[in-house]
Amino acid sequence: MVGLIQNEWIKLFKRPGTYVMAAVLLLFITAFAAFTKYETSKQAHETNWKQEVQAETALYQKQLAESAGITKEKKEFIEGQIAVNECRLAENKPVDTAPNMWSFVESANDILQFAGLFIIVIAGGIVASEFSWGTVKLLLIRPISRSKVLLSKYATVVLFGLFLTMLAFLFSVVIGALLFGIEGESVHLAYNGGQIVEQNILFYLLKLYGLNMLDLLMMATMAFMISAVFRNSSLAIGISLFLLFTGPNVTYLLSMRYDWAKYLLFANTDLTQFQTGDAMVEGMTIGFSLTMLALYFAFFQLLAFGVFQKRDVAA
Amino acid sequence: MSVVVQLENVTKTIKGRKIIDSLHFSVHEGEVFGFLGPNGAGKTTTIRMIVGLMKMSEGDIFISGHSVRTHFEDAIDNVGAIVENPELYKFLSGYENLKQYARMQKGITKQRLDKVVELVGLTDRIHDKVKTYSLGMRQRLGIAQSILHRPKVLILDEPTNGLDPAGIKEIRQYIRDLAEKEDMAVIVSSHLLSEMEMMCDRIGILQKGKMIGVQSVRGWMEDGLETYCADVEKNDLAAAAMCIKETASGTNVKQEGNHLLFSAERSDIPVIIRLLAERGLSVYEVRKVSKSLEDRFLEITGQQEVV
Ligand SMILES: Nc1ncnc2c1ncn2[C@@H]1O[C@H](COP(=O)(O)OP(=O)(O)OP(=O)(O)O)[C@@H](O)[C@H]1O
Ligand SMILES: [Mg+2]
Repeated sequence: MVGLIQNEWIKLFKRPGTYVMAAVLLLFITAFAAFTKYETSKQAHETNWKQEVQAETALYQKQLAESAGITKEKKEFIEGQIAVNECRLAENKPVDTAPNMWSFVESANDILQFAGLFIIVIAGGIVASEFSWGTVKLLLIRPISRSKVLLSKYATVVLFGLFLTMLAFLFSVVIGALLFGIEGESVHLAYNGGQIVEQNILFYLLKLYGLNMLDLLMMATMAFMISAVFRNSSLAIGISLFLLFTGPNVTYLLSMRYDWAKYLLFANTDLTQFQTGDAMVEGMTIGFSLTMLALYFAFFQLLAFGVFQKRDVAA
Repeated sequence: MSVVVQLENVTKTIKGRKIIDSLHFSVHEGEVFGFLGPNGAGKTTTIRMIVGLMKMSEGDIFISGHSVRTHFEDAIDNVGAIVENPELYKFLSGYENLKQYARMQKGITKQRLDKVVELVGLTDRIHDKVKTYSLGMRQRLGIAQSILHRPKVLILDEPTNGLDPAGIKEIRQYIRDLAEKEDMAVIVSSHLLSEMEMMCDRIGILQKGKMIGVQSVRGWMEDGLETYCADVEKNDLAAAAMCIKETASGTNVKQEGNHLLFSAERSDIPVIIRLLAERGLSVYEVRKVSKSLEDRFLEITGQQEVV
């Protein structure tokens, strides 16, 4: 099994495309960093963090007062934010007014969407290209069960996803440190069931990246399944990317009218929605979403392994 | 000689059509078995079933006693194969391709790798990318890959496809060597009979999914009647034909220009010559025309276009 994964890894990194992907990802982060730096240098005026926090609290209170149809979760979230802000003022725990390394890493997390795109390309191609190269015959006439062959490929996709996420994270840390400095007096406060706790920022960021990666892996699993079932990489990559771009929006539109939208894959992939109380359909919980994701995951894998093991290889 | 590959009533049905119909034969250690048949006969399909790429609809295949159906991994461990074309990772070097394969099974040492590379004569180019290889080099790398783990049976689907005469000769020599020196069973498929004749010990003829005959190459050439050609004076042709037909085994007399072609047993030839002389017919020559395998093949497959 280790040998198989090693084989896959070598095949991945002996092709220039893989390096292009990694390079593009790093380039985006660099561009984003440069842009952030440029933006902050324009607004040179020093602001007082206390004033900022107070302004934010005022905004939250206005939100609470104005919107009547606000969900219970959202209300809780806003109340939590207000509580955190008050705690900051009372105990003198500052937020950063200028970006630093950590805040940059936090905002750079959006760039992970591109990593997702690349992981889909890899996942969509990893089985199908063996078919188009004809080399699938080599893999399947060795004393290794078909399920092991497929499992090694899936493991490689997951490892590659981890690799890209780690790469993006570490690179953001480095470039953030270089451009914005390590210094920052910010304390990360989290509101947790009525209590305010001081959280390690690194822990918070890793969780953020982790949740995002889960999202990406679901998409990758879908692309992998299509790749294994239809044996066509353009189809797998095309469908997955199309869904990646349109899925969340379509699901959002559906969720405004229909309750069943919560059973759709895309209603559940963004697990950060539960942290800010913005669940797509009212009444969804993180437990519900995790269950749905597990079901989708099992479905994709069953399909991929079932078809891959059964079907004749006639190409 | 022990049986290495045994097919038992192997049948493959795709969408209600029987593509392979009850194949039943075995291949022995140290033997080169030829799988001969016109395009679409089912050679590749049979090979795919032997190596487990396709599931058989009925029957079973045993390799070294292990069923491909129920003990696939044990069975396939003894097989090395190239199905249709040598498929390789073009973006890797020849050596890296071999290493990929070595990682998929136990007990392949670096020495073995180097030895196989040397055996197929690729030592000079083995570290170049496969996309820079010629077809012949790919074919050789494919063979290297398939014999890496010292299989008991080597299966090559149209191994000489696209090779020049020198390349064909070389491959033929490898195949004979592997069978004779390493006691490997080799199954080769081809639609070229002349080629099969030169490298196989036995040939099985496949047509429309059915095995219509398995014969040893030597035996085939020598069995039964021979064809002879008699060069006779033009005016005497009809009378001579009569003479031949009178003898015990002389049949199938055909006229071709100034010659008569006929089949007869060897022992009847002196009888025929004596008869011709007694009747005062002018005969210039009677000689044996060795009937090629090609003719036999056409006879069996019903005059169908082969090449
Ligand atoms: N996947 C498939 N679906 C339907 N029919 C198939 C399939 N694969 C092969 N066949 C049919 O099976 C028959 C045998 O094909 P096969 O490729 O085994 O022939 P072959 O003897 O290898 O011919 P060739 O000399 O052209 O390589 C053909 O009639 C082909 O159309
Ligand atoms: Mg064929």
